[in-house]
Amino acid sequence: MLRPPALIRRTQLRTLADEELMERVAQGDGPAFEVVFDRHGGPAFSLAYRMCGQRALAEDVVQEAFLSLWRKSGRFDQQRGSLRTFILQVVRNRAIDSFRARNSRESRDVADEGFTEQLAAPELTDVEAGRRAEARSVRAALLGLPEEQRRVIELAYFGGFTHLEIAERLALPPGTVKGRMRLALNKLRASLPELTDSVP
Amino acid sequence: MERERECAGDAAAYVLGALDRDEAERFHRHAAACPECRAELQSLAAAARLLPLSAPQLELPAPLRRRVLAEVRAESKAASARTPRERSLPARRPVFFGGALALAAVLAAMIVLVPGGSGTRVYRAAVSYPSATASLRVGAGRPELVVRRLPAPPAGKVYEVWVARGRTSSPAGALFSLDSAGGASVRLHHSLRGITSVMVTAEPLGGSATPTGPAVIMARLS
Repeated sequence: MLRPPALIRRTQLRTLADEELMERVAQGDGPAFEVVFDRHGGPAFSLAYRMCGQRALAEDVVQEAFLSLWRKSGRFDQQRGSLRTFILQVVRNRAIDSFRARNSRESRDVADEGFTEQLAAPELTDVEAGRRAEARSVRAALLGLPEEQRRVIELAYFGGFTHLEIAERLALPPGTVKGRMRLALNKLRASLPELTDSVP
Repeated sequence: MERERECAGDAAAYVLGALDRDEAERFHRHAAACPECRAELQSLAAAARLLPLSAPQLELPAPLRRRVLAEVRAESKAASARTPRERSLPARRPVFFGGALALAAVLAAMIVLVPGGSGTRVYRAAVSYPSATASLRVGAGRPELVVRRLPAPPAGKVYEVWVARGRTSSPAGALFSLDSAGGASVRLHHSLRGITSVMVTAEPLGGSATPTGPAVIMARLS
């Protein structure tokens, strides 16, 4: 039985699982939402910045995504995957909407504003350190793909392009683009078995 | 359900969100009846879920955190001030009310200045849809237009924000889309010094140099 929001201290909230927090968020529990935001805001902003390449735009995307989560918490269905996966999908969709509204979709590599991975090591919590190690593994696996496969994955996932748009952009038959996507994802899965089995 | 016989090898493009809407629906129908494609979908989706983790991991900017949590606290406080009956009312989807002339006629001249926190002034804007609300928050940072329950713009159009000095309007450099509940928070990169009003119109995709339709939202600053 869920206790009334006021009876749980903030420190206790931080020990709750995402699903328990979201049950409280659905009841309008602001402090529970704060814990959710602190837990997932970093990865969300990282994805938004990777896609948008501009800090202001990435902030707008993350702000809209989390306020939408607060106002429409019922859209999260734990049966369909983790809260982290849900939030990142919302962020990606909003980033793509933002590209389309601005009629501009150049996914960029980030490093131009000097705040990449800037937390000093002693300040990292165990969870944060684990998250960054996981990110480095995935990035290394992505960089380990053949260039032509990595390119189609990046254009599709981070650039929001359809396979037909990618085919036109790279002057390739659409079937070749789809084939490269398939090869790339299979290689990623094979090179990261421990992660593909654990990320719901 | 009729099963499409050919496996088009679309599972990878599907999990990457790289099929257009019709292709995605076609693949969805096909996969529902094709065990091979369902198995491939499951396998490739596990890999696709890792992709966002490949982004360089950044700190959450402190100003962003403050903005989001301030909004949540304000809404939480407002919700707790409502009566139990008001709180129990379900959120309603916006209703689209027809043509531009009808909308313009509904545009009420309700301009209210509401004090916000931390020196922020909140201008409640007039909106041409009775179900929608909009407010303009002006504080130390960039001005922010917050919209709720606004119907989607007509097909092929996007909402665009304008700033006006007297009768002269110019683009605020902000086109925006709505979330599924018709909401949006649009930060303006345009100073409001000397600006007398901020308005929103529906414009062709890509925006316009001058407003081509009636104002859907109007916030008067003076």
